[in-house]
Amino acid sequence: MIILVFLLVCTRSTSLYAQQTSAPITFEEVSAKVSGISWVHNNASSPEHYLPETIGGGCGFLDYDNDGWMDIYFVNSGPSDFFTPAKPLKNALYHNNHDGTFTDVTEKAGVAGGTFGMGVEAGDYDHDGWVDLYVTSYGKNILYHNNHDGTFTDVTDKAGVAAPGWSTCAVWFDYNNDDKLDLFVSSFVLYNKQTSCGNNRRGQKYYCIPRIFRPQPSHLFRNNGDGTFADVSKETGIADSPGKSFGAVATDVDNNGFMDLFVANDTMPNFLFLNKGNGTFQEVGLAAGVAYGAEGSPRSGMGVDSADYNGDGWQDLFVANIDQELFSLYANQHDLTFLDEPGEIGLATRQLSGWGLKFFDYDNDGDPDLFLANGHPDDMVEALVSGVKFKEPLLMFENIGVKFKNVSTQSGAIFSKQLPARGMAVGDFDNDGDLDVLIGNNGDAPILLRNDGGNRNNWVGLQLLATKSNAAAVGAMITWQVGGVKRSRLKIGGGSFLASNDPREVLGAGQGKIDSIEIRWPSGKVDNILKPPMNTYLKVIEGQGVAKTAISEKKP
Amino acid sequence: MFTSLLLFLAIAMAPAQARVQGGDAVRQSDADFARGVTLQQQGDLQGAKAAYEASLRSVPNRIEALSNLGVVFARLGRYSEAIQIYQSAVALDPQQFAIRLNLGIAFYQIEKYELAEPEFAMVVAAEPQNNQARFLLGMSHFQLDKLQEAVNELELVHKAEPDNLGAAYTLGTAYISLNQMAKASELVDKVFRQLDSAEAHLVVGAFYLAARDFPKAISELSAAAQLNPRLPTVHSQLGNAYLFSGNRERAIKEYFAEVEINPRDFSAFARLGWLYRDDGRLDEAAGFLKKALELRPNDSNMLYQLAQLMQTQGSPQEAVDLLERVVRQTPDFRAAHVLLARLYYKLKRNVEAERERVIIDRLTAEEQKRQEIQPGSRPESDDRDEKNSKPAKP
Repeated sequence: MIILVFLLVCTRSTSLYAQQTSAPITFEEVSAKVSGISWVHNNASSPEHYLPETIGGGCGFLDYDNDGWMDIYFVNSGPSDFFTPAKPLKNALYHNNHDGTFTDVTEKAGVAGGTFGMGVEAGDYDHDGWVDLYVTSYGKNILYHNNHDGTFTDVTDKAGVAAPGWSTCAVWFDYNNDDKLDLFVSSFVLYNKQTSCGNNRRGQKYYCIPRIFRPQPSHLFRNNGDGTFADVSKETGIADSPGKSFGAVATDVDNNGFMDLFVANDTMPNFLFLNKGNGTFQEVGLAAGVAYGAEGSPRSGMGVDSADYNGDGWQDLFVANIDQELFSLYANQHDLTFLDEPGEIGLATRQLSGWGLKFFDYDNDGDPDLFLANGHPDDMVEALVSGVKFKEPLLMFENIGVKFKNVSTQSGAIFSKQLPARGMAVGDFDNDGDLDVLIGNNGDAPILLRNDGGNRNNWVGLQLLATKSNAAAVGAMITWQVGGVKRSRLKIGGGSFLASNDPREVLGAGQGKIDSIEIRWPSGKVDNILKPPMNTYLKVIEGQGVAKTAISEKKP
Repeated sequence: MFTSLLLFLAIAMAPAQARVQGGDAVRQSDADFARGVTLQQQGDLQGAKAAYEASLRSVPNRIEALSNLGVVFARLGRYSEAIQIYQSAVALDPQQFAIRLNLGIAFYQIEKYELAEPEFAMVVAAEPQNNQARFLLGMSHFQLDKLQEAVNELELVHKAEPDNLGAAYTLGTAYISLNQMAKASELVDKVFRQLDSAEAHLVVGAFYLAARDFPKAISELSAAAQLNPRLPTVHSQLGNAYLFSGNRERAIKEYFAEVEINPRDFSAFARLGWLYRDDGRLDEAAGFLKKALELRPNDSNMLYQLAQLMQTQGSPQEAVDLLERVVRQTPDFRAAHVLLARLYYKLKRNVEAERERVIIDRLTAEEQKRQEIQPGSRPESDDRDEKNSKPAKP
């Protein structure tokens, strides 16, 4: 037994499961001509360089019509106090036609927006089995309620979640474990269009660095369970920490069963809101070592995510920062402190600025890999700093045990392109069992990337249908076993930047087969699945196990 | 560069008329003084020293003898004795501005800029047309990091003496440090660009480095290094240019070249320390940081860097000790408070950690207040800087 354990530990440096070692896994760009996605982000670019122009746009995967296929939503700019579009701009909802193509159904669905949009987060806030949409904006946010017939209704005012100001990222999660989805909304700065930055003598304007604007408290809305929300920002302690907040992720860093919030701030210390389990949060970023960079200065935090990348049972954190600051990979030390150990990621990102990012198992070997979408916020940076570009490359890092390896150059031609990437979502749009990627580009067309080869390893996809727990099952712990090796994954809320991800969980098995899956729901209920069918999606109903009507897709 | 300029500036005092004291003692003093001047002019500094000392034995308060003896000591590199002599002379007659100038130069030579500065200031106040004194006053301001004051003086010197390359060089460097890039650019174009000396290329390279045009900086600094590989700071600046362009390996090579020829280059040692720390070569990093600290023992930033290293090396208590020293001498050093707070938390010294947290929150709020711009206002600058753009921070 001792020998066996030793052998297992030794194999951790590569992978726990047997591997397919053939061609590399690549992400192939699905052209607009093939996908039918013709929508293009308009960043409202102007000579005045109003700061909101350079932040959007968001994007997301969601299955709005419950047909088992991921549809796509894009967020666009729109009318604001500094921008009047020459012709109407709209957000876009694309219906997945199940054949690799999409159809624009925005008008019919009634989700065109009309604000100066930033990001999107999908979540079934009223637990009616149909996913709703929350769109963040510079200005007023929008909550679209799903009418179950392919249309949505704007219920923002009734729900009380407009959160005026400048909102960036949103997270659906259950902060008080009352089984309802609450809503966290990141607030960026108190912006005013009159303050501009530039060289007045030369008449040249550029985007202001956010530190000249005043920070704002973010919002936490408690779900009242009747279609309305209460703003509990003050009573929960969230409002005590005004920030310049971008990415946010709900995770459980101390394994106490209550979801904490990690929030990236631009030019300010990041926040780690520790959920005390009594309806309040304590901001512990400084003590935890995640507020400031290793050099003790605040960084320009943008995208964030959380996962247990090293398999020690504790949630780690990731933040993308601006160039020269290095991105942060915070390894959880199990005592509410973190150690920033970016390793190879640090070297690769020294000149880059990161926004969308996501831990996900791109090769289905069981551990979370990392995808980074980058781009500098300053469209004139190239005249200012040598080696730094406005458009930057995507990066793919493979988890090789307790660290990451840069595999970008072998992961497809798209990684040699330069993009003004911002939002980035992960989802299996072709239901082939490997996770694809959607990139929202600032002032440019979005990019849909198909994962080719990730499904050469075995997998099982889970669609978690909560009956008692919150509808998104955020906080559920999924444990699966392959050939004596156990893996666990916490279902987190939010993550990335301005993006909404496929809510399904794809469990990688390498070349093995999954012996068992345990789902520990936030309600405390546990479902066990023994010897599940491989390479297919399963619907799991809380307290009932696998639904008889499983979504079955074949490995191509 | 400053040192070599200053060597030319160390002037010999012309002997003034001895005060009439009468008698043999005065005559003997006159004779010894005249012999001293002759020997000094012949380059026999030891002989001159003996003659002036003999002159002073006969007439102890003979100012011109004191002055020239001070010059001889300075030429012999015995600055503390020179200073003592000059101080005796100006004590006798505070209006002896030529002696004050030499006193200031002696202080400057031993890097006591804070003592040199008031001497030069007194000379300039008394003799506003004395460009030499004004130049040295500007240089002292510069050395004391009073950059705007340095600019104020050196601009006047540069206007009066456009060929004074030392003044132009320092003025350009001050402009660059103050991020007054338009003025720096004008100076570089007017004075240095057409010159093909190592010093000129160094200034132009430094300008491009500050302007973050790294390819041009590398080109200019390489030209400087080629013309004079032993020019102080050339490799250090070239290292910075390579570092900021992402070529760490070449940067390290240049920093090593700098410390080889210029073992007093603080910034090269500091950079080597940071780079080795980033590469996980912690023991070597500590060695470089300690070298830098030997050159500037009270440099808060270096102490802080060493504390960071100690923390990484698993010596939290040593790190705390260093950081407590840093925040005592630099109470507004937020990053040091941040690291100190983290370490206190780690060491379960929560009361002290919370005290640090309060300080950090206050400093952060003050910084935010300083940076905020009122609605409707337009931050203006000649060039982009960190205050109002989103630049990289190399």
